[in-house]
Amino acid sequence: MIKNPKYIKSFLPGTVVDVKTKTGDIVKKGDVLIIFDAMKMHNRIIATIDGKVKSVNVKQNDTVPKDFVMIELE
Amino acid sequence: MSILKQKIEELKNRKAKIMLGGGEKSIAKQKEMGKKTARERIDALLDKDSFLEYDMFIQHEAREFGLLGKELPADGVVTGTGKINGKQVAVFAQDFTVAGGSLGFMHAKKITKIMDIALNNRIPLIGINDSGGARIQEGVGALAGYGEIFYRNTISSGVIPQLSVILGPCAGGAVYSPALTDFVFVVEGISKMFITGPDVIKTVLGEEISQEDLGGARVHSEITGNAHFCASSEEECFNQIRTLLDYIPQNNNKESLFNALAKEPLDEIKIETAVPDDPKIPYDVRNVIKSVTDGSDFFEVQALFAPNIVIGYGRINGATVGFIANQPDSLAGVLDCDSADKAARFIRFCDSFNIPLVTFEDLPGYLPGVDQEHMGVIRHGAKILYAYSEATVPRITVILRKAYGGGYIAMNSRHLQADFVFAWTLAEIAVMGAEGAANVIFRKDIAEAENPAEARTQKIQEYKDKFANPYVAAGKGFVDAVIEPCETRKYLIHALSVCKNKKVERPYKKHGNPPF
Repeated sequence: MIKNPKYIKSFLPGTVVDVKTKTGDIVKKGDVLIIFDAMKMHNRIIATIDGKVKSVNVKQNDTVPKDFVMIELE
Repeated sequence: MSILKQKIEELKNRKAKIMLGGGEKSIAKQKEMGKKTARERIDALLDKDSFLEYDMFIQHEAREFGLLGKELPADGVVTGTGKINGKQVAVFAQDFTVAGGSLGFMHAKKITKIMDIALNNRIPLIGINDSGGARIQEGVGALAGYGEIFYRNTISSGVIPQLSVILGPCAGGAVYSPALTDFVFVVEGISKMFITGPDVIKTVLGEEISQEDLGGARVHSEITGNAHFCASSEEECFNQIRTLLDYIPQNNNKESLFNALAKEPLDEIKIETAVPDDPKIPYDVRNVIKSVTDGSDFFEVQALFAPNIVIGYGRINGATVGFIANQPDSLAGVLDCDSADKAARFIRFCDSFNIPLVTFEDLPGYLPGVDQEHMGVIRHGAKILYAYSEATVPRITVILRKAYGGGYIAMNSRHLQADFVFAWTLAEIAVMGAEGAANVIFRKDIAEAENPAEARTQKIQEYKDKFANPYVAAGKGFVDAVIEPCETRKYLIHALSVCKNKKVERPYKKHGNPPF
């Protein structure tokens, strides 16, 4: 399926190390939104489109399942 | 006027008519869609004035449905030979202005003839696809044409490079010729590829989708992996083709390999700082590749598909090298169905055409998950093992940081008969990461400890000290040398030079049976 770039999802279960954005922020394509610990790596979760942060659904140290919508853009 | 002059005049008139393709109205329509005509495309792609056209006067064979006696100039496809970067190539370009570029029996005959010329003379074949599909009015004759093309694509595979350029629709049976070739080029907004189009999908399944969302350039570049190069214009696409042909040889004869002038990598690409010391911090592995290539040039293949593995071409000391590298910046650099598939096909192309392979390794292993298992990560993952093991070109591996478990074996390990394996001082070569390993080995000790958390940390450190380094593997001879990052290019140049006349015999077989 074609991914909807507005939904920033977890690609595996993991832990949120850091949240780099908040609701209402204007983000650009390529901005790091979340540092996400999975597969022995602090993965940089980046925005793939320009947009405004509609909601942030995780906070630091949260453990999230796979395909969890961590951030929604509008 | 002498008879000769009259005859020449007649030839010129005939040619002029054919050169107009489907006529001014159709050409205007083609331009409206943002597309060049078939002959403009060939002129834009090939070296100036190098193209000679054949079979211009071919007549189509359609007799039914009002096509009898109707002129279809050149039968909707332009074929010929010319040069790119001064080297011979064979080309065909379907002309959408003539009956929608539809493929009839003679149209296909022209294509198969130019394919035979390409194969017999061992020159690359470039096919520009812009066609509505089979010419339905010709019935089974059109289908025969596709079959003849697929057969030749297959027979030519591994002998000459075959490039498919999708500059318009390419639907139904037509998609399988590009799929059988080595490289597929697409252009945003112009390329459309699918087996059954939106109309059929709607009729049969009731699903609604646009042509672009079903089989546009981005879809095939990012999701399906059918395309290798995505451009935003036809000009950019032709530049990509010229660049690719600059890296790869004309055919599978070793003598067609050529060397460019050797250059040093750029000073501003620093290998010492390209990789963070902390194995948990991601980075862009393309900077490591650029730190060892001539002029720091790297021409990436399938950049948008399965970005967790990076493949592409660069030069070391003037000679083309195929690079395969885990990309920690994407999904931590894991191997999965798509990345294994992507790397395996690239390895097999390089091996077919005598291009040495350099692998940069930093991966946590295969991607776990129900969907991966059910998508067949076992058989897809096996492709990369097969491709490396089968390859007889020089194969060199540099382990940058993590080399764990099945991933370590798969990424051109010594055990798959790599010629050389070098490891950076940061390398951790182990069955699994320290945390996972400590949890398994010391499960009981940790559970029974007074302070389990503390015991766990201590055991993890114990495992790290013992195994999270390159020296255990080096102690067994699985790693040939532990090197400093700044020595990487020196070791690669040396190893490639040693392997220059590599000769490995394989037992006789008709062909292997890779896990397709």
